[in-house]
Amino acid sequence: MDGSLVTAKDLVFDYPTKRALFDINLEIPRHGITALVGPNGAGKTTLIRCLVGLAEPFSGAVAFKGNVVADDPRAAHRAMGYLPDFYELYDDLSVRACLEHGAEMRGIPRAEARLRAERSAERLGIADRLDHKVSSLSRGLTQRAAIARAIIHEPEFLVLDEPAAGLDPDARLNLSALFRQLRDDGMTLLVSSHILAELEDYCTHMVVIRAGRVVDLVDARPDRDRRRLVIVTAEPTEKLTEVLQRHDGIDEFVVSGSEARLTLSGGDASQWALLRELVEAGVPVIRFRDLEDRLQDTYRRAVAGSEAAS
Amino acid sequence: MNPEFRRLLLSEFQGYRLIALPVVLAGTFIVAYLANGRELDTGTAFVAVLAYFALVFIWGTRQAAESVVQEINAKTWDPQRMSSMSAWGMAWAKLFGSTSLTWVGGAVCLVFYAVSNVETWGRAATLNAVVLYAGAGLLAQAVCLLVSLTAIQRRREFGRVRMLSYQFLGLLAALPPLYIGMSVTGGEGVMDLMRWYGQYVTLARFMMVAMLAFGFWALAGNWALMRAELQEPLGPWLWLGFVVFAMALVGGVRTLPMGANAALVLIDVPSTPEMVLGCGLALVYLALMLEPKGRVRLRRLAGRLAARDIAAALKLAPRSLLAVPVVAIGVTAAAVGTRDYTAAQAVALHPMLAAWLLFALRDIGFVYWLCLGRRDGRGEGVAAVVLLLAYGAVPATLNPESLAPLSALFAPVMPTSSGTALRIWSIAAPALELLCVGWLLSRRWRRAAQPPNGS
Repeated sequence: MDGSLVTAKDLVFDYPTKRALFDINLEIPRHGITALVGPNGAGKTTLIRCLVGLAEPFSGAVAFKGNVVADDPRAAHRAMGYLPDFYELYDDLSVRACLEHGAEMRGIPRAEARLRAERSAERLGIADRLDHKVSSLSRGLTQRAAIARAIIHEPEFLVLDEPAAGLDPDARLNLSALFRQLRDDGMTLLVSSHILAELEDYCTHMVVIRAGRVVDLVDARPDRDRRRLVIVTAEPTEKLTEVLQRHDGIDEFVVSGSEARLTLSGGDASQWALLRELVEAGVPVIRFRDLEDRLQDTYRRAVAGSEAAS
Repeated sequence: MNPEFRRLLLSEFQGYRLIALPVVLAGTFIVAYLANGRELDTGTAFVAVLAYFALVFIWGTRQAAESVVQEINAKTWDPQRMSSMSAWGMAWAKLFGSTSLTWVGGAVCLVFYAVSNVETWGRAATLNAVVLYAGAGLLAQAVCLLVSLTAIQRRREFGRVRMLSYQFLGLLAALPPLYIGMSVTGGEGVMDLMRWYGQYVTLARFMMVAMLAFGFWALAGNWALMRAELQEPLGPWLWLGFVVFAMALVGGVRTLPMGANAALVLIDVPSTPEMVLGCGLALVYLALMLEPKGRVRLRRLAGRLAARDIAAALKLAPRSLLAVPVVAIGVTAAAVGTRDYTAAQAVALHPMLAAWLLFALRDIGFVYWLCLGRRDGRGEGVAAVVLLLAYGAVPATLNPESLAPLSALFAPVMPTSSGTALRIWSIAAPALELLCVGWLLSRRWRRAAQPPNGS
């Protein structure tokens, strides 16, 4: 796929007594935020380590911008940023020293590293903490400092393994906004998590992994043209079914007593037309709302599909 | 400046350490000076050396061994591996950065030592001793880092006991020069002369040069292992070069002083090829115990061999196995180059060499067989016990010459009076054992080579 930044082909990874990844094939699209989801022990971290070239797969290959990572991992690393799960920063350093060190380790000259540290801190909203010791930061701010360090060399591909682990709800919300901002700045993100709710806000694609196998790759962006609706009437009425049968754009519907669930195409205009038609037909509508296709539903369907297949 | 070195300096030189180190050292030296009757002599020098040992050999080796391991435990190592740092830059930064504070303290101790000692020993001998102590410290720390870098090829979890064992190995490497440094106190004595490739040198000088050379090899080893960590693994050439160097160094020794100070006597080294063989085999077994033997690595090696990708296969090949032919060549070269080697000795050498190499190959197979069968990672430990029994206890109980045929099953037997039959058997026995171990290993490998089928 032209739009993919990273591709994995027939990836197999073995631990001494356990195969951790089975023939993984996936593509990570550019300028998106791909969520890597799966239960604990599914192989998410192993897959991530293979994708960033830190672990050598037993067979198969990972390509970054078309080049096989294993052929020259260090070249690929120049354009990658990685934040492991349960990472630590250098606690005895100031945030500034930590960021400057990160920049220089990426080959950025010292003078520029200072500027990069300030820019990166500003981007992450921790410019006022630059001279604080890392050990004095809260978990959320430490997370920001770690991400600031991971992106200090402006990587094209940023990989974060369980970035929200241990964060409070406010910090998680901030993290979502931050990821969207990084994506808008042109980065491609891969974020692993087993908590689907936190991915909902920002992910554009989802890779579902289970027991070392990719069970689904889905486009998680909401389809603005096609939506699922629920209509509730004050009392059961035949008119509801009649209107739904004759309205253009309804792909499917189910009426159950005073409630109808349907899939409607045509976007806002079609939704407004349907509501108008219902009211004009005298249907006593008391509720008319979108049924969001939540990531959790997509995940459940994917997992159910994989279980049925096996 | 190397950014990793700067970070380590920032980490080391801060907080209470900056105050504690000068206070403790100053206190120690003042007390020693006062207790010594306000005299600076060998008494205060001894205290300075003790302080130096504590700083450089105890604290410093710990720091060196933990420099990378701590990063692995803190999960900061993977981002480091993704950095643009060169392997050499990373290796020296880790070695000298993590131990920088201990070296500052150690340098102060050595200055105090030199000032205390110079009147008694004179300048040359004092300087000699200072260089020896500094070199031994560097060697110990470099070996500690080397051992920990070797270990992280096999595991990513480390406890305190394991770290202590790495420290112990580093200290063990520095023990010979330290021993010499502390016993040959005169430095330039006449009695401690030794002969090396026809040249007479003092043992102290020889040990110092050898120590510096081994220090160089330890640094080179750190560089090579760091390359592997940074995913630029080298082939086996550096390792094989080291094997050749060590055998050449040992092969040149003709006479050695034994004992200490006034009791020193010169003894002739029994036979150069045997010395070379002993040195080479020691390195083979060292590599055998330390090298990674994971089945995934071996499967990968088998894959590379099947694909005839020799360069990639050599990077994965067991270093112990690759060293065996080098040892054989080295011993043969030593035998050819030894002028005073008699014809009878030359005739006896080849069966002995063949027997030892066959035993070494058997043991390599045996250790891999054990390691492939155990999932607790204790294969080497079990193998070490079994081999110690096989080479030590069993032949000792089968000592009489009449039991030599039986003894040949456990260790090389050098027939003295018996005829050709025993000579042939001394080679045939390990050859048969090698075949048996090879058969067992191939059976176990057939199972291990199968990819695991999931959780």
